[in-house]
Amino acid sequence: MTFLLFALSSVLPASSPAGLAGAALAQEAAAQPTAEELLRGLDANLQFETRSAKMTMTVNDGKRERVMTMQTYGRGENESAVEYLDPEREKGTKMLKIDDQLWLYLPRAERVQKISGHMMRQGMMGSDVSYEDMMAGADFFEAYAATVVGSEQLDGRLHWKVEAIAKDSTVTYPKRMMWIDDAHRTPSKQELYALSGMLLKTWTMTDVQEVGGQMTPMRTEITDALRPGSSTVIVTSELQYGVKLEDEVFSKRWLER
Amino acid sequence: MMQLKLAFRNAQRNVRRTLLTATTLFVGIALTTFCLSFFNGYIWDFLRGMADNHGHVRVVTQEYAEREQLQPLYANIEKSGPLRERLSQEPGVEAVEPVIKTGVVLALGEEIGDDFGMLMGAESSLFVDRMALDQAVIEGTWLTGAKDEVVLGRKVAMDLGAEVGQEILVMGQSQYGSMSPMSPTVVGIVSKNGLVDMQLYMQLEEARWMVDVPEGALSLLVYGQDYQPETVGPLSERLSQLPELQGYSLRAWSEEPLAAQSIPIITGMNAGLSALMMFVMVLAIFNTMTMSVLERTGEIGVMRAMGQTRMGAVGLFLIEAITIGVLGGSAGVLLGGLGGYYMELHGVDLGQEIVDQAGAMPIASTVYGDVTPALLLQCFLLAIATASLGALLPALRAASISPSAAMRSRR
Repeated sequence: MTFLLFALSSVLPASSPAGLAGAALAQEAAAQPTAEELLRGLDANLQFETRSAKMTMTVNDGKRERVMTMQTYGRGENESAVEYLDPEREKGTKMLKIDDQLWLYLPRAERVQKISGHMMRQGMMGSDVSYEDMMAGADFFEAYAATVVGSEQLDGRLHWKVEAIAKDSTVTYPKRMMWIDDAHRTPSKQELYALSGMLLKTWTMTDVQEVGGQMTPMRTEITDALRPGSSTVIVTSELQYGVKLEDEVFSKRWLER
Repeated sequence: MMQLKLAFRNAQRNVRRTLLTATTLFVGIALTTFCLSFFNGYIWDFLRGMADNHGHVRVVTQEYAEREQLQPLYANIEKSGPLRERLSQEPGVEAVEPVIKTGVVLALGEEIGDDFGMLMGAESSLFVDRMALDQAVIEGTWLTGAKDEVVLGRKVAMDLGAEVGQEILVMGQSQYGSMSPMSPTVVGIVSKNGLVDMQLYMQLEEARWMVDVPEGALSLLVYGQDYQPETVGPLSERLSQLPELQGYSLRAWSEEPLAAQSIPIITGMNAGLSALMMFVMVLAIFNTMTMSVLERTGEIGVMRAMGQTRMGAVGLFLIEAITIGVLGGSAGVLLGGLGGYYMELHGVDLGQEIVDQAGAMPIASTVYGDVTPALLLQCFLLAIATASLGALLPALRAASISPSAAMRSRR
């Protein structure tokens, strides 16, 4: 859920200084940052105390398009809540993440369910974002060992290419390749890999805006390599950091309210 | 006529040996008849279960057929009514049933994520008239037609730990990919075979809501007068020529991968079993006839000297063997047929383990025999053929004896 609240941006840790391959970017005259510096930059942009935002999720399965809007709330790393506002069929569905647990309220069934097991890998609302993606925290510093492996121009901007390997087998994606915007310190593109080295998903984050002093990607596009032709675009609006949120929002009581 | 008389007389010359041979045939044919009736009953019950569940001919959209493994719910038959009506008018078509089959996640308690099932939504006419699921209820009742009801297959109920009267969560997907949760009450549990036991059943209208196909279906199951592969193949072929069905994919149940693989195996096993029994019986007949030839070498020599042809000598022994075959075969078919018929009436319970291990295959725990006139005739002819084959070599040997050599060796 943290992903949603960050408009699907993520934070990568740095544990080793980078070796810069392909550093011939004289025109940029940019000093080579270490992986640690880059990831601390991401941390600074993507972490928050509280936040609320409206999001529009457009799911295109290659055949048709479906648009959903939702109101999201977040408090720190471990608490977040989502309420679907429309379309009618999804309206009133709520999700709540507290620490490592994910709860779902289904208005038609009038039930609160805790999501677990195989369902965690399924696409949320038929999108390319899995429940497991939602559970992934933004504190990647502890989770990954990173190396700067090069630099590239994306959309005319200098990006540092960072390879991040999970330190722990419990991490959803054992390997990430990230393109971090040198100036914004946001992850413009991420490739997420399985342990076998197979590409699973690609996240592209654009439309970076400064909100409350934090650089935040407002548009994220996710493609799942296992679902050819499909894509999910999440656009963030009405973003506010530091909002006052009641404790009840992050409780199971809120789900059924 | 003369040879026939001689053959009968020879058969009576050593009554004990003739009876022993006839008994071997009798036991062999009785066992073969019984085993084949059991085997046919078991296999055809399996294939009938597949045909009932799949429909004799299944109609889906081309796109659904191409991506079936992924269950593309969007590739549905949007308005199934007109197509159903059109197909129903075709000669040889008895019923057309709209069906929605979709994978769902199930939950009884607070957690959801590890229990899955295959939901089948259809009208009562399919569940009751075709699949006889109302007869398979082992707990509770069949669907009454009230809202929010579900009937679980035995395996689904067992895995979920659900009982009749409990409310469960059935989480499916709409054709647009969004979550479709329902919380029906379990009104009954059914058990029939591996396939039935692994599914859950709901009224078509509720399944339509889940998939969000208000007037459609994922498939139309067409039922003809007979489910036999030789009937449904041509029916499928004929229906596929209809202009209204262009753009759809039709498949007879016998062309389903599982059935297509099973049918040759079944035919092969049937032939293999017959061949094995035949082999044992041929050895017995061969032994008897060889002894008979040896005993009558001198006599054969005299008959050959009196003008009997080689073919006449062969015929003599063959007729003797066929006489024994008719005797033993008739009795064997009668006894084996009676045993098979008893099994057809009462069945044999092989235990639930066989169903649990069968996975999603329509294998039942109770096996019923299947005795048909064709099977009885097949076994009777097998007895004759076996006797003839067993006697052939000794008979040829008898025919090859020269009269002078036979006279010299006369004992």
